[in-house]
Amino acid sequence: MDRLVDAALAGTASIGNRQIAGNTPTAALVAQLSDLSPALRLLLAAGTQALYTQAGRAVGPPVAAPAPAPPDRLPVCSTGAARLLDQLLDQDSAGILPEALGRLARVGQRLPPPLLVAALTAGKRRADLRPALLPVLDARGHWLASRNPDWAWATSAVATIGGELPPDAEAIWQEGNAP
Amino acid sequence: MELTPEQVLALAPDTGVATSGKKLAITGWHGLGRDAVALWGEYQGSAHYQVRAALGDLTVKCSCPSRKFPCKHGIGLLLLVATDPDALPTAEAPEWVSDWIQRRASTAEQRETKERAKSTAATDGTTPVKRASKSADRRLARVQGGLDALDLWLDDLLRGGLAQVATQPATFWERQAARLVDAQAPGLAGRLRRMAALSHASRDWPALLLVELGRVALLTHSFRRIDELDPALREDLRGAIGWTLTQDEVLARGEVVGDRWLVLGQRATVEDRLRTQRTWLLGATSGRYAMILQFAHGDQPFEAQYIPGTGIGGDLVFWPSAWPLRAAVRERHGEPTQFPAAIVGLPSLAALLEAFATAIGHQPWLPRLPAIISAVTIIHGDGGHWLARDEQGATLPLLGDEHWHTLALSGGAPVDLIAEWDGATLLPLGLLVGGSYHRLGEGR
Repeated sequence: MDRLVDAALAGTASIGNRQIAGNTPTAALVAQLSDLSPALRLLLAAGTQALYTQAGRAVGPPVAAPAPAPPDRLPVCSTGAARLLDQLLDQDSAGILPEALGRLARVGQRLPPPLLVAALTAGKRRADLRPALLPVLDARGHWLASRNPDWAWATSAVATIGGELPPDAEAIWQEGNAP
Repeated sequence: MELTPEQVLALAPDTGVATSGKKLAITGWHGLGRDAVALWGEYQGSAHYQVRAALGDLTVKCSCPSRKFPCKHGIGLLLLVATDPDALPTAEAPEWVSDWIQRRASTAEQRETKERAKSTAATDGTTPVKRASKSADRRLARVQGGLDALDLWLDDLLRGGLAQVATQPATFWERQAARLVDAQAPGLAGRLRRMAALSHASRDWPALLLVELGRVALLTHSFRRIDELDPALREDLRGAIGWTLTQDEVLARGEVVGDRWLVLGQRATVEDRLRTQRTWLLGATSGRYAMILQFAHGDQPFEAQYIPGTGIGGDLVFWPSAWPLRAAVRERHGEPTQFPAAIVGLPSLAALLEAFATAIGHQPWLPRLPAIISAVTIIHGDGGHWLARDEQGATLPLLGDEHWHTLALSGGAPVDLIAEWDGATLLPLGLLVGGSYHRLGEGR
């Protein structure tokens, strides 16, 4: 294709009568066409070669899959609760989202995966939500947060505890570390 | 009705309506009821509204003055029944519901009679055909004139070299595009308009531009020899130029396929305030893919509702093509149902590429193909690139850089991915995770 691109950039007027052909079998097909200007011949060579290349496209070389999210520990909340939380994450005009999240944590349930992006984004915007969000994100939420620098708030909160888990780690996990 | 709240919310024309609908689904209703064909209820807000919905195609009619469609009351009513099916007792429909259902039925009947008359006329070879062939001759002459002028323009452009494009303003492309619109070749005009955005957009713009110009030259060159092509491919060539058959012509002579059609996903694009929506369907028995195209101006709603993650029974009519995909719904039967728990997908990304190569071998102007690929892992790779990885570890790139929701739903584990492949990137439309469907992207 490079040869065709160079010729196209310079213009067929400047390269005289030199034949510009592609380097795929389609070049032979274009060569069979008579009574065409060098310019149109160049375009047809590029068009057929592009199609040829597209048909022969190969998949990328094998890569290893990163570790998936560890299994969540908590049961997921009910669909009714999920819908209410979805609405509150979308618009919390009454300011009751922290309480709703707190109640979710108290009954030991987690947010369903479809709400995780909204929850992590809300936590980035509103620091007041973070203590209530941390316990209900569960393993999948923390795994997701660790992949996006925008959501560092959810991972650094865990890191501040230190290298070792504190004795009340289970309680913090279940209830959040709010006083 | 077998809809989930998530699917009902997907019907909302914008997020404002979805949010208000969610609030309305909680209280304020009376006179709720349902029968075999409709749902209804009355909502008391600042005023009193009568809300009704047809179960067959989920069309909603409300007495409120909103210009949104469906309005928040309609979404509220559908959400109510999706959340709690027992909230609506079976009852006899009040007059304001049964009248509406009857009116809808008689309009549908009239349309059918008209279509039947048209297709009889077409097969009889009576009236409109002669007139149609005369106007087709006129159009052919205009299109050919337009393509001749385009060839001269291309010739000039390549003789002088693409480097000169660097100094050209956007009007350089627009002027030629407008000429093609006048020549009734809007498909080619659209291609030229998109080229305006290509020049200098990236480091390899000369190669990208040359390829696009090359594809246009293939079209103009093929059109000169259209009579030598296979009849089905002639239709594709006309379609690529923008000389598409009308829905009426297709209903009269297209291939009809009846099946239970799974709504795989949806994608909407906007160009000059014209919204275009593609809905991909898969026949549960036939295994055939189909694409429904709908157009709407500005805030107008699309005519019909297709909810990703549901199945609809009915007959589709396919546009004639060497690789038929575009279709229109001729008749819909029954209510929407949920997806089956499992759909057999392609075993690998290599299989997808092979399917695409076969398809463009038949129809070289095919822009994209839908596919379901089994056991795909979504990866956010180094440098922020998103990849789909199949069971063998092979990868293909995903379009764009916002796939966090897809990653959240999959949790980095293999899932069945429903996507469009355009020859360069995958555009995810849906996921099947543990037997349940999740819609991705915006279809409005």
